[in-house]
Amino acid sequence: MDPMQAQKLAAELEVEMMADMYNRMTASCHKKCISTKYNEGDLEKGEAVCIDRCVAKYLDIHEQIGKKLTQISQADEEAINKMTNAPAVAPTP
Amino acid sequence: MFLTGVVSVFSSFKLLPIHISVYQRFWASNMSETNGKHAKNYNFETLKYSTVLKCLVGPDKITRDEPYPSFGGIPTPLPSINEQRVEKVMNSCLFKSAIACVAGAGFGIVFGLFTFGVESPSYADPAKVPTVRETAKEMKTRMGSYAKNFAAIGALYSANECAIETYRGVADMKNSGAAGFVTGGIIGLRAGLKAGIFGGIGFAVFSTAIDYYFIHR
Repeated sequence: MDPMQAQKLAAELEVEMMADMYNRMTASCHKKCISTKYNEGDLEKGEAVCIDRCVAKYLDIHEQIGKKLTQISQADEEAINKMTNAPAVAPTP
Repeated sequence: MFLTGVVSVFSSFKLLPIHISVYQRFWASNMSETNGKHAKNYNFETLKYSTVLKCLVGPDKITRDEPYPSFGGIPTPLPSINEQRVEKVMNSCLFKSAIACVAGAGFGIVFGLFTFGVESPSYADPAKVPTVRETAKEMKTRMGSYAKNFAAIGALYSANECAIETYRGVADMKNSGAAGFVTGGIIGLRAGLKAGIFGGIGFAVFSTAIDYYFIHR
């Protein structure tokens, strides 16, 4: 699979990934930061600060976990390639 | 289709290569029986998950200039950059304490005027009626002293509350109590440590009561 195909696939997946990430992020940060005692309609200073920090942390972790996932899946793929190229035992159907 | 295969992989990456090939073979056999004969000739490719991931998270990530469309609820337009700047300034600690300072000064002026009208200071000669200029001068000094005091109290309290709320990240009633304690402590420390502690406790109780009654009930 060459990089162009991967990029095309990634462009299709990216919208879905972003939507999923946005929904999870808003749900998680809403649960953590916004209290259920609604004293005023606007975000209070503490809540705004908390949301800023929550979103920054979430995006940072999202990127770090993505990089770790890439590492792990690359190692998995190399192991699978080694197994298919030089199989020790005949594969069972 | 291919997409659902990839998305199901997203959730169970450890079983990745085996899972994909089994799913593809199962799907191909199912499709050829129920849907048509062209599915048998479909050319499946092995998915290099890491290559796709590198385009999603990593240096080859797709970057967009415009923000994403809203994904849930009522689509509202994002505020413009100038609106964001104005909001940032208005919600900052410095601006809030400046507003509290000005408000305190105004309140102090009115309070000084009122107390001057209720109880005016005594003059050297009790029989002489004070002139307008003397009265105005006395008024000005009293209003000025009250205005300075209240401006300092307001600015200190507002700055402290904003700082504590920023540090904690929670909009609570404890913020007002702590800010009141610090403010009362700073003002009372002029007259010694004990006066500082008692002043802090008193101001904390007062500010918590005001916060409870007016805002967080």
